[in-house]
Amino acid sequence: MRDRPSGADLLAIARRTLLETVLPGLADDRRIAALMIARAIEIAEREAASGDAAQRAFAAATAMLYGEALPALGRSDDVATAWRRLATRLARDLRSGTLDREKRAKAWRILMADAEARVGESNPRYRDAG
Amino acid sequence: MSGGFSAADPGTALARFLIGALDARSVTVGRFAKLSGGAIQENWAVDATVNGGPHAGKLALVLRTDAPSGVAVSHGRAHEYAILRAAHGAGVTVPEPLALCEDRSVLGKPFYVMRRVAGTAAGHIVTRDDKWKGDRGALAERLGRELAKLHRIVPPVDSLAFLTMPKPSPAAAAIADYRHWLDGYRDPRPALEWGLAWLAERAPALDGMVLCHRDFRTGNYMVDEHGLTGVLDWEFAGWGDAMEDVGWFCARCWRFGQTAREAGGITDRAAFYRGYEAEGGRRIDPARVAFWEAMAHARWAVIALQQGERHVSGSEPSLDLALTGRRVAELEWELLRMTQPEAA
Repeated sequence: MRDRPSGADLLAIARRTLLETVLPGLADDRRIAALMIARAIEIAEREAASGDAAQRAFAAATAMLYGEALPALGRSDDVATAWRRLATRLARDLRSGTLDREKRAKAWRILMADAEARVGESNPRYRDAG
Repeated sequence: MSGGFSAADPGTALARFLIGALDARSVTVGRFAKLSGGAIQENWAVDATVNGGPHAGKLALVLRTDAPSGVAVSHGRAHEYAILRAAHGAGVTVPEPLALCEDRSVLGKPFYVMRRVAGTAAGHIVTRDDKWKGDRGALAERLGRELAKLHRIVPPVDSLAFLTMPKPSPAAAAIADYRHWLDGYRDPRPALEWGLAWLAERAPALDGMVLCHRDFRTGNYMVDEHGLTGVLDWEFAGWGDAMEDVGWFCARCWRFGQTAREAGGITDRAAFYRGYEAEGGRRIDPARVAFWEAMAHARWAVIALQQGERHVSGSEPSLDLALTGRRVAELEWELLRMTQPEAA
């Protein structure tokens, strides 16, 4: 295993130091930059925590939508490949309107779950505001 | 000073240009400083002293020119200047356009100057800080009136002949544009495709074309302690569906966190709609507005992807652009929520 602290831990303490130690001494134009840095670190932290769970879930659900037996997804490369293939197919079918009503409703639920997971990483406050 | 000006001393070069443009005897330029914001254009604050002519005295100006890279659909400076003049002529409160320079030998790139208006445009301040904007209801009503004045401009207009007519309708043209762009994008975007398919099924038929601002929202107008001082950022203006501007203004993605205040995060819709209908004689069509509010999220998602791509491609590394790229998730989420199928 790697040495401690972990990368996620380093991101967390870096963000805290930025906000508590650096930010208070900054002029307005630099404050905006510092807050953006904090936001970028926050997203990276959440990504590190959730890994590729959302991509795996999307691939599994979309494979099921198409009645496909998805092989076990091992490494994250496999997940990315499966995600791209299935997302490309779904995107094409949504545009051409070839899915029936029931499949479209299922597709919406898959997309909604995926979008919710992504907002959970990028801006959970937006999602939680309802 | 940076900004890609070719002149060794842009202040002096600008002063020389302004003598002819403002019909003055002499002009001196003092402050010449880049203003923040503007991912597509650069704005520079210019303080000039004019001797002689109709503008004699001290002039507070903004010089607007191209940023290093811009979104493909935004207008060049000459077109933007023509649009600003048309809006000014229709009585819309805008920074008065004063001079256009297409001669690259002056500063190295085309630019125009307009009067600088006072106040702030920052969305989080306009929606939250009571020091600014005067009365919020009055501000919303005023903005409705401003938009109605703009929408009185209908084609054909000779000075705006460069604007193309969206065909077969503004909605259908927008959907075709976004799909075309997505076809060249590096990743599939099924959530956006969902939204665009929903919009394509419901695209309203053509109902009279008007001059739309196409970025009329909180963050793009200036306010001071008393209220509105100017509508800004005309780079996307074009012929379109009047309800597109209304929907863009009210869309949740432009409420700066004040989600309950549906008119731009400043107040409820009633005051904004009232001002619009009182000034323009065009009725607000709520169903059409709702359609364009969903479209607003699709459009903003595509723009956010484009801005993120400027960073991702390596052409313009920028934290601001990078974070904009990550706003796509919330825009897609909102678009999905607005387009839920009955069976789901």
